[in-house]
Amino acid sequence: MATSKQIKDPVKLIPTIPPSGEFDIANFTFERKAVERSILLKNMLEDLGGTNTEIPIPNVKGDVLLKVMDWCDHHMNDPPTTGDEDNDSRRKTTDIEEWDQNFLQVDQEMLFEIILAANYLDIKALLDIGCKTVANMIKGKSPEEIRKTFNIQNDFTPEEEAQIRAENEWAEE
Amino acid sequence: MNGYPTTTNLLWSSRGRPVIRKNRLGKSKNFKPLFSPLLDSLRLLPPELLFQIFGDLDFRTLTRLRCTSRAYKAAVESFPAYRHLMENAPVTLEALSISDILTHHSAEALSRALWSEQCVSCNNPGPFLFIPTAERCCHACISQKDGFS
Repeated sequence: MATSKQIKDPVKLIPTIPPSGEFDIANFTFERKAVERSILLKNMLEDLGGTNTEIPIPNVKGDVLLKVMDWCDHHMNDPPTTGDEDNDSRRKTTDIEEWDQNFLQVDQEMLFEIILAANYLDIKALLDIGCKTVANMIKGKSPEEIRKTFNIQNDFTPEEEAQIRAENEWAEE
Repeated sequence: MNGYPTTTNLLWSSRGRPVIRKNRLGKSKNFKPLFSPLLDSLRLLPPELLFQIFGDLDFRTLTRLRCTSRAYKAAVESFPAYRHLMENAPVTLEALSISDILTHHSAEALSRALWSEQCVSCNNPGPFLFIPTAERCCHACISQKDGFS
């Protein structure tokens, strides 16, 4: 937990949706460098100036915030991501490194919450690996398996389904 | 017919945006609501994130996702990389499928390569697709440069 470490430059994040069960607000103090992985919070800290180091976080549940900040803690010394014209770097990073893979081995609900939080907090690297993890859950599956994985209800009539399958035949082996 | 209590249903238009439409349950016997009562988890995500996920998928997986339900059919069909290539390069896609290369590249990468005009290496017109990396290239670069061998 973050409190067990020496924090040089602390920033306190206050989730407006507290985590389930008992929690200690002291656990929500993080290293500034880790918090700045989030572009949203980085800009906010800049705007607030050096003195104010308490930020309320709406829209992200406490449990999810802790999980996301775990990731930020681990990645706080990564080089900052280059701008948006990074088509090439995107292609190179198709593999997810091992620590991240283990980090994202959570139930589906948590995975989607992490993606939404990364999107809201503007943490591009985390958003990318989250989306890739979901894509990997879809890849190589048959339509039935995809439905089962994501709880999708088949609402086609049998005739419609047969027609769509016929339309897709070119893409199958 | 799954008896929906509401008078309106949220539908995905052909462009993938949700639209509100009057419930036509009484008028058409084929009508079914597109939002299933059970929440499917992918739909927790806003469309732009769904598209980011689609970008990592290959064409075969996209076509399979398209057969899962009406909502996904509409979503996949409105995904730009899928729509553009299906409309403009169906023959190329079929050739890639027959040669079993379709699953090796993401729809996004293929679309980017097929829509560009220049060789990635020398910026001259590139009439070839370098299969291992899904990049456009020209004959001179394929035959001479080490990166392509």
